[in-house]
Amino acid sequence: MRKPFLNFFLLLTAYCLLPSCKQDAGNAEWNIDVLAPVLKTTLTLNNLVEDSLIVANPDQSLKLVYNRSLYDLPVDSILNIPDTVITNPVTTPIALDLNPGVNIPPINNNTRYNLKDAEIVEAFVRSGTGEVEVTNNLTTKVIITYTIPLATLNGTPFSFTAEVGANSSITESFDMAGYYLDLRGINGTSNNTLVTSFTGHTDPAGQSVHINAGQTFITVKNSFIGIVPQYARGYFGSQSLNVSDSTDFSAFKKIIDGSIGLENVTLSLDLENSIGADAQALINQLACYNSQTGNMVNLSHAIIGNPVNITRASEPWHYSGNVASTVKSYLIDKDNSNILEFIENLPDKLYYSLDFNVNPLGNISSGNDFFYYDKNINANIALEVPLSFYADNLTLSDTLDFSTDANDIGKHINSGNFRLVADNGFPLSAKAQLYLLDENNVLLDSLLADNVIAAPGLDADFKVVQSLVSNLILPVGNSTGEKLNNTRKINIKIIFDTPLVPQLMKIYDGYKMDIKIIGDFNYTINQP
Amino acid sequence: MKYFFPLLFISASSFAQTFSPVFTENKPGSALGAGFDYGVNSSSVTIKFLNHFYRGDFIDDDLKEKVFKKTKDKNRLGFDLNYGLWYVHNPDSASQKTLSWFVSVRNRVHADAKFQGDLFKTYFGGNKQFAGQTASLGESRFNYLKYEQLQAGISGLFDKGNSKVRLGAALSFLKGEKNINVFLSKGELFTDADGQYIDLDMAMELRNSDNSNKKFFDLKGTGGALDFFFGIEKMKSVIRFELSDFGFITWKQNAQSIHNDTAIHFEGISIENLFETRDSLANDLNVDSIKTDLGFITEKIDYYTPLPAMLHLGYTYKAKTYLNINAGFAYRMAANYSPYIYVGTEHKFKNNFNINTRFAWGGYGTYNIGLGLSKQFGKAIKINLGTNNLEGFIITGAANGVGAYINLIGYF
Repeated sequence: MRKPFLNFFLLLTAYCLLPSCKQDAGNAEWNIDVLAPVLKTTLTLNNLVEDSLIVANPDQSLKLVYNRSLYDLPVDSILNIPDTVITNPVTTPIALDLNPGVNIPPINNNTRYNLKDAEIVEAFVRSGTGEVEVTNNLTTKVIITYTIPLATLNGTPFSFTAEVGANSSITESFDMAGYYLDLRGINGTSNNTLVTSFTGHTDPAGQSVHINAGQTFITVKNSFIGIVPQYARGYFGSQSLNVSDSTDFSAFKKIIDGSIGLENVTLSLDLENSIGADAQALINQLACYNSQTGNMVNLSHAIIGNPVNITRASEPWHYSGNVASTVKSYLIDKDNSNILEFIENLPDKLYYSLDFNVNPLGNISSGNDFFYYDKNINANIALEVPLSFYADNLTLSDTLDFSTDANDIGKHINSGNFRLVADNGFPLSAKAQLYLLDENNVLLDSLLADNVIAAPGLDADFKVVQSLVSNLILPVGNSTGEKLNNTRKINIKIIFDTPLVPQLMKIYDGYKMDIKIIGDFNYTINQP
Repeated sequence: MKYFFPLLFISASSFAQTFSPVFTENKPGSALGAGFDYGVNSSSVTIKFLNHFYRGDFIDDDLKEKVFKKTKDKNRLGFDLNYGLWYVHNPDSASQKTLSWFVSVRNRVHADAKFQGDLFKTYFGGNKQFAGQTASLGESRFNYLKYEQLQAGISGLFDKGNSKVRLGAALSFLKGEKNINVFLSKGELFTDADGQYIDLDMAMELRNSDNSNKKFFDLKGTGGALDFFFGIEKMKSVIRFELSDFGFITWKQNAQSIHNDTAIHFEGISIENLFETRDSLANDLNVDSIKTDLGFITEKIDYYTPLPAMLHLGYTYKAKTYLNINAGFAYRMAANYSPYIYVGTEHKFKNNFNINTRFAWGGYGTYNIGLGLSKQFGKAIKINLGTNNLEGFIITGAANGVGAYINLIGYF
């Protein structure tokens, strides 16, 4: 039997040497015809106008109400407490021998803050830190007590006791938030003044130490850092502030081109004084800017260039928290200004220049000005636009990221089209355009619909009777499929027109446009 | 004849018969053989289509349309590829021994599918042709199996007066290489006439073995198989019964099941605000999100795959000394197979040259025309080659099956 088994092993050896019959057969390709929905969405007014509050009128017509603060005067522009460091060395003019347990002479300090013209008599701290560093140059331990007698928290003065070893120092930090500060000094007649006190004695169980004449044997350094008042009372001084700045105006951010005609616009401007000091405001300029067109429009109204006095806010008693603000309101409309032109400019930025004077008449409150941290002087605007308008090539646009998987799908498209089915309930006609962009926003190709989304029929009141379905074809050629491979972004543009320019159209609650994009493609499949 | 006459060669694409040498090679002494066979057949898909698909060519619309016209509600497709070596030892004719034994090693690939015509049309033609209609995709199956086989067997010849009986059996150890098993139990795809929505109601399970690359001795799956043979020759008749590849492979390691049972109504990716979609479009248009939408669940499982076992019942009538007439029936279990029947002849010519012919119906295809040649050179070398689907080499645009086999046998 030896020979047969030998043959068997030869057989095994030969098998293992056989080349693999596996072949890479290649990936077949074929074309298929795909008919499938791709995207669906519904356009409502909320989709078109950003950061807006759409409010329905009693007749279900809509208006755009846009509120925002134009400017808030920061508290630190009225009262800014600087960071302060006070160093107190303890010396002796003559040579001394200090026995164990002997008292060190006390140090009392009146720290007066430099607050320019302001004379503050009391304050509550919103935030800030106190820091004490004690350096002991004696050869024995000392026990020290650091006190701010007129800084109290729930009636208890601030106090700190610590042991400082021989020839060493300690540093302690304290959160000052919530402390009441009486800034009238020891005698209660001053202002801007913080009283601190230091006492101490040598270690009773220690040894006697000798001090030479003129030697600094204890140094106390205390700091107040980042003190922000929650409340302050006193006289804030007579101050002038000029503010020139710009702010984004996003109500029409998606609109990049075209024009509109509006029936009416009202802009309410409120100047509100919530501090206990008289103020005077002067609006030098209020202008709007459309960065797409580069067009700037200055608001023309009686308030521009004329100072407005806003009397001080009041409170029933000190630190009551119950502040009665003073508000000066101005209604700016098409009859007293160029507000129509201002808003029809479709701005995306507002420019303003304001002057504020605090206490223009000086200290007429006998040192009883006050403020709260979260109550200041501000200018607010409230824009109200009834959505009754005509649109001429009003263009909305956005750019979307285009994913890698979608690129992979796109590069296999041979021909076909996107079909856009729009069920339009707006009294507007629209054109749809898609632009393919690379990662540098370079235009690769455009998909332009062959027709417009038609506006539905209107009744005698120019109200939409029934929505209208439109079918638009966006042809996709061979080259477009290739370009989809390099597409990283898609820019969508929808261009609205009202059919009867300059007839004004009201937009009613419930108006919407359902959009569905359907792919109808010849597509190449690569065998997976 | 003291031993069975050589049975007709039947391609492995129909029967895995060429690799059971102990049942067919009966010459005294030892024989070493190498064999290769492949076969592909379908009830509807043409060979030309399959050639394009396999070679990675572009499948044009004309080629697809011809297949689309041939598809029915239920369609079948099967593929087999086998190659390997075997060694058989028969007792000397002078000895009294009656037991033969053999071993073989083989590499085997099998794939079969049963599918709805609409599934094929949708996959190769897209869904637009079904606009306004429902494409029935369900009750479709696909199975792909690749494994290596180490087989050992014995057979015995028993002389019962005027009849001779041969009994044989073989056991195999199987090393699984790859398995993909897809069962689409439910599948209804409705495409709106305008393409505004698609309704899909589907339930499917895909099981696949560990797809990671492994070293030769790492086992993704293991299994075993039994072959059994019984033949009797009496007068001019020979009857034989065979059961081959009766076994299974268990898949472990990182085998997984991906399954779902879901109904979805798709109207496109919904965008809440067309002008506030900076990231959402990119996030929504990707394969993972679609897979999630279809409710696929992936989990690791251990599972087993039955082999496509073959039952074969054959009859041979020795009409003349130079002519045998054959007929038979075969069926493959768990393999989406249709019953296969055949008739054929074996013509013996001088100089040990034989020609075999066969006409068959069934299996994975429809009609099958077979032609085989066998020639022995001296006493040491024999070669068998042929095909069970001659039509596939001649009319590729119309035929549905093609295959070939070749065996080289050395005697010593």
